[in-house]
Amino acid sequence: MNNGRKACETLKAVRKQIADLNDIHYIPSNCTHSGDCLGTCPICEQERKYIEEQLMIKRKAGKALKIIGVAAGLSAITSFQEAIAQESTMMADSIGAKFEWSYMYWQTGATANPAAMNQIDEMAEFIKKFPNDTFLFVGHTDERGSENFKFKLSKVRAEWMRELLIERGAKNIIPIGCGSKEPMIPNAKTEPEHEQNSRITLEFYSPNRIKELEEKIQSK
Amino acid sequence: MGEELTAQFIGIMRHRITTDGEGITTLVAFHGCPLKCQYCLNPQCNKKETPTLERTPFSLLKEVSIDNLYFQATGGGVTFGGGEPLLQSRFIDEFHKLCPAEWTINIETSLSVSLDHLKEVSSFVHQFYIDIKDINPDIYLKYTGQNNQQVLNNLTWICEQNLQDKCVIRLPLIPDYNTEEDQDKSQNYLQELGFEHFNRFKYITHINKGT
Repeated sequence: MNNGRKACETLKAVRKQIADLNDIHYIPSNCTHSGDCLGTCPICEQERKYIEEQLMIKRKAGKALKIIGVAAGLSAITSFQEAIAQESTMMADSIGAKFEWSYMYWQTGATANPAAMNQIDEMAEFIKKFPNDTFLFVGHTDERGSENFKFKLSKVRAEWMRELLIERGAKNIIPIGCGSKEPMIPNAKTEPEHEQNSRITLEFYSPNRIKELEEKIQSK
Repeated sequence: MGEELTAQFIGIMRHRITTDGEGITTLVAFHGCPLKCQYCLNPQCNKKETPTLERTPFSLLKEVSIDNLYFQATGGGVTFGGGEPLLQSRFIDEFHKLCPAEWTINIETSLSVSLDHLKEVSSFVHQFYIDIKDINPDIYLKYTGQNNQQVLNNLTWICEQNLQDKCVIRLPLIPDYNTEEDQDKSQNYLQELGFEHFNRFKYITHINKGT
């Protein structure tokens, strides 16, 4: 995914977070643009203005608004991910964790790489900067295999990563397996597409997100 | 006062996602820099013929406020770079007085400026990203064309004010100028001064060769 599209996805997520917390009905548009983009476009700007207008209406009606810092976690995750990934990909340990822009991808049979363990060190340092916050490691798999298998595998991945981080003093992490309920690329056909679905995401804890994940797990 | 003061900019870039500060930021790049670095990423910042944008603190505020919602939600704001932003410390101070308290103001700097500029902004800047090039004076002079005594003085002042925690020190590996061993020496020196946040990286050399 190019940088412009990444920025767009992050901004969209921030808008959604603000809307959800302030009971604003907002369904982000599906972007049909192909190729690179600037990270924003007239549609994105329109959506931002819509959110601002709705917030103003609520403010005038005397409602308390939740805006300040409500999406700090979304962009902070991106920061850590870009800080550790840059343009390189790395392999780590026998299970295999490949770090790319926003996510860590998984392959089997990889060999250990000391450089990748340095990246995990950086991740631990990042998490330790937020001792009063809780993080989620959400494990994902590609869509192949039974539901039970996928949930077990995704949870094992998340738990394994958490152990690595605990060894480095970053303890405030909850591992969760999501199976293939949140594919990056739905109905993936090729190995590269399956690889993009097979990943771990690091997120700031939020009750809404836990509830969302529990519903997905229970719906298997 | 805000309406009279102007500055020249080489660019205003929106939606920087944590590359120039926490949260979502807008990078505002000033024209003008005291250094002549061989691998400068923005050599146009020192060329007289570079087209620039002229803004007052108020007109800049109006322009960047389009992303106020993102700044407030993510703990972001405006990052000043360039060029050397601290040369325009007065402008930055005037700007900061106008903008919402929730915005963060960050500075990307070489610290190769007089201490007065640093003092003018230090109380309200959220984060300084300091590219010190190399602590070794010979390497610094060879790479930038300037000596680094002012940089060292400013770093010492930051320590005396206990502001190290506001600083991320960028330690570049500069091809043909320094080595990883030099980077280690720079880092060790700065750690002795109490700096704890470092970002080691390698300069890109194939884009520009400086002015």
